[in-house]
Amino acid sequence: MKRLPVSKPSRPRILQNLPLAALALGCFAVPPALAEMRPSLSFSGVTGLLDMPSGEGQEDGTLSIVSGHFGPISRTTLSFQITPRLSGSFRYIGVRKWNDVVADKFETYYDRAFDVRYQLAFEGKYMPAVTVALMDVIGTGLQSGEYIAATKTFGGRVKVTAGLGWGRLGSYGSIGAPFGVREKIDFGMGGTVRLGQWFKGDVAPFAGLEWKLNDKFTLKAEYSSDIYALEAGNKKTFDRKSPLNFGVEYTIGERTRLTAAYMYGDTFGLSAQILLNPKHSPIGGTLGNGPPLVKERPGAAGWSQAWVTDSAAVQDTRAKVAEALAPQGFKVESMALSAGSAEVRIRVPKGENSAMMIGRAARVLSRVLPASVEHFHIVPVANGLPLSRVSLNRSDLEQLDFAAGQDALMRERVTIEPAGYNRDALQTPGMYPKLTWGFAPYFRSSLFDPDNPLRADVGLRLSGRYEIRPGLVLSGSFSKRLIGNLNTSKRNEISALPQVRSDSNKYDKFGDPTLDSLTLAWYAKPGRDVYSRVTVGYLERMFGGVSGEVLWKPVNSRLAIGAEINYVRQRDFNQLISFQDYDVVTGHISGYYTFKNGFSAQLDVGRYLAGDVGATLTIDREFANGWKVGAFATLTNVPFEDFGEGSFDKGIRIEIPFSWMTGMSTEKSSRQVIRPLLRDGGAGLSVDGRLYETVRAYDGIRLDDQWGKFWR
Amino acid sequence: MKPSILTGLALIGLALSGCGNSKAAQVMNAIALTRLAEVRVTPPTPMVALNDSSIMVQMPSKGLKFPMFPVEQDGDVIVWSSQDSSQLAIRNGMVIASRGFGMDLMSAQATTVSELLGGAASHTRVYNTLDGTDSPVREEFSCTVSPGTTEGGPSVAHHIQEDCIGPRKIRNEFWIDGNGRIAYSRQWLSIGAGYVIFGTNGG
Repeated sequence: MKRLPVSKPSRPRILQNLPLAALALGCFAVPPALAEMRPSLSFSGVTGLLDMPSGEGQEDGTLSIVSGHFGPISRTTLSFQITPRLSGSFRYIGVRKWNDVVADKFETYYDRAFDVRYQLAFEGKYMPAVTVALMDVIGTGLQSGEYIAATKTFGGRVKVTAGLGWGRLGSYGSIGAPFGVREKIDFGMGGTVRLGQWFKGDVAPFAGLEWKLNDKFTLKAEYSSDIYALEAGNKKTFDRKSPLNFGVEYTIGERTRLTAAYMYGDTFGLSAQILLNPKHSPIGGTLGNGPPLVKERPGAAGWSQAWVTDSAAVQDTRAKVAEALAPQGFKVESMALSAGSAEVRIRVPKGENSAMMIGRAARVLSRVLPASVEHFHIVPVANGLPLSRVSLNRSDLEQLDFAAGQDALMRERVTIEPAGYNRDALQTPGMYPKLTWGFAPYFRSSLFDPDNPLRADVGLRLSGRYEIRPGLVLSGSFSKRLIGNLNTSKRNEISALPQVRSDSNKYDKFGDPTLDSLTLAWYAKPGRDVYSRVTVGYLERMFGGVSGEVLWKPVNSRLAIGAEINYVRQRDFNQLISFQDYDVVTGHISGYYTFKNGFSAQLDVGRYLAGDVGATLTIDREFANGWKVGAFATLTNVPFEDFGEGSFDKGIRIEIPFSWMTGMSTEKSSRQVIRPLLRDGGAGLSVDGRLYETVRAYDGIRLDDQWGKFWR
Repeated sequence: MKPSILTGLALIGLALSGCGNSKAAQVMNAIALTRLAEVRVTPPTPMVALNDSSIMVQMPSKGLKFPMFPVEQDGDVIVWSSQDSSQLAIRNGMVIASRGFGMDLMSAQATTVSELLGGAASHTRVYNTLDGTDSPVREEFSCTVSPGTTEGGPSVAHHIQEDCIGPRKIRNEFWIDGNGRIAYSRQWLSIGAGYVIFGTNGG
């Protein structure tokens, strides 16, 4: 088991029994920490003062959202402190009054930018915190610049920042161009790295001062080296009268801050900052809901084995086990009992801590199984697939249930092996065939369309799932829009490629009501470490056909390899039963690797929906509590000009478990994929029930990562 | 105006969503209220009290005071449970684990009454907790025992304080009755939960 260093003390929290309805994250206000001066966030959402960056970074793992506005300029920025030194920011920018003074086809100019920051030095006794950064590193480049900034704290109340900027941040008060001319680059479709420009051209100094008055208020003043050449100069959306900015930051709670400022001698600004960190749950851990406890067997040994030959007693035991496991969210698929051992196959709820679920199942078994049963084998099952076989001794549970360091001691005595099918296991009656269904509202949105950056629909969705036998599932969903404006998009995309994704607005417009999906899926485990899936039907809103997948994943291996091949045809815009003419064979070979430090990588190489050939790399950082933040990028043989705006497909994905937010045990999480643009190149098929995420949820690697909760 | 709506959406999205379908390989980001409606909260484990004794537990850090009932006995350890199924495992008056108190004390190497009364030079305490990401944290403290100085416990009892130095300073306090049992105490759980105060009458 890995031991982590002690985290900084957080303060007690008073939020218990918080209703789900009050789940606006900003509400989790807790009095701010004393003494320490925390790194603040600038209007552009990076660690900094008002408009200028600083040399510091945020605490490792921090995810921040900043909405900063001054004059005509609005920026919304999502940042993640990827490692203690490295951070990334994705920003959506809107500049209003774009054609007020100078004619232009846009009333408001929208742009996106991605920044990368690397902290060269952490603050020491004499050493300031030093950060080097690239702004708008792969966008259109209009926002681009580079800087190096240093920040030093004095007496816990005052912070001084000084820096040098290039590009945007070298545009006012330049002191020369030490590394040569910054050549204008034709950014083409954007989205490419402009390596040749870095740290070239005019360099200008910037500086700032922060003064912490008390735990609530901090004053800020800065000298900006950004002349706003385009916004203030060319387009005259505001008048930059002065390089000086002044502001005050107000701390509402540990996670929320507000800043008000007077900017550039001309205009006022406001910024709201929300900071989340997977290490600090708003609730401070799981509340209530104590787990099942071990029940000690009476006496020492020599328990009667007579029950095994009594079919009524066996029947009774089976019923008791199923009944006792049900409150924990488990459904018993099958069971094999003998005098000395029990193998229980349980369908596990998705998204719960895997070690916690195994631990709870084991302790429940200790309460209900006859005393002669010493060996427990727990097999978690999902989609009919046996995921692993966790074997433990009942006497170890009894011995360690109150031992200091019980998690590591228990792990040493548990074995995690691959699971096969068990022909001798007796299926729980009434499990198959089984129909489950749901009827619920849905919300669906479209972001970043320049005509209207936010469109959304609300409607109702009927979904059903019919499990015919273990591993064979018929499922589908049907939805009807109630209100919304997704159908108002008039964009008529023209693409050099088959329009596999860029027609998505037509699917919104003509697809009401919608058959979202209707599939028959067959999951199987044909080998010791091999899993398979075949799915037929309307696979997703835009494509239907056949999808087949094989995954090799040894239960204790950090590496997995998969292959998927699909033949699909494009569905009609009405999304009912008919198809269009376009069809394609698409598929990938995928490699998955989980690193020891919480990072994981996935590489898919193959043919995409538009027939283009290439690879997708996805890097995620995952925490034991289920938080996941990652990014992906796809490069294919489609030239950047043909791909269109953005040049290639890329995005960010974030997953936050509800249990982290509420302190209650729930299997749901918030999952977001943010893509600046959706085009036809590098587009993959979307099919439910892909094997890897299902299989890895209970493999040895994941169980080890989450083992700390075995006794929870 | 629009970007602020966008922020709102981003926040709502993070707070609520279940990303419609896993089919969101697109800008179209189905944030499914549908999934919110399906949130299944695991019901508390049903607990049956062993007898009608109880303890009244205070958590000053959260301003809470609630009764707990014995639900399981394993040798000299008694597990007490509150109505909402939060649990405390107590061995001869000494807290050795908590469940459902926020950031829990998962397990502990505690001390004993005889060690407290013996007044040994110093002893070690180990607290095993989980950090915010559910990764285990082991903290070791070096503790010394001295006569208690604060008010609060039963006046007839022998008041002892245990000062421990480790990653932080903590002070456990015990009031020991004539039978050598801990009648009342204030004991450290974890950073998230702080201290618990309770009397062991009847337990």
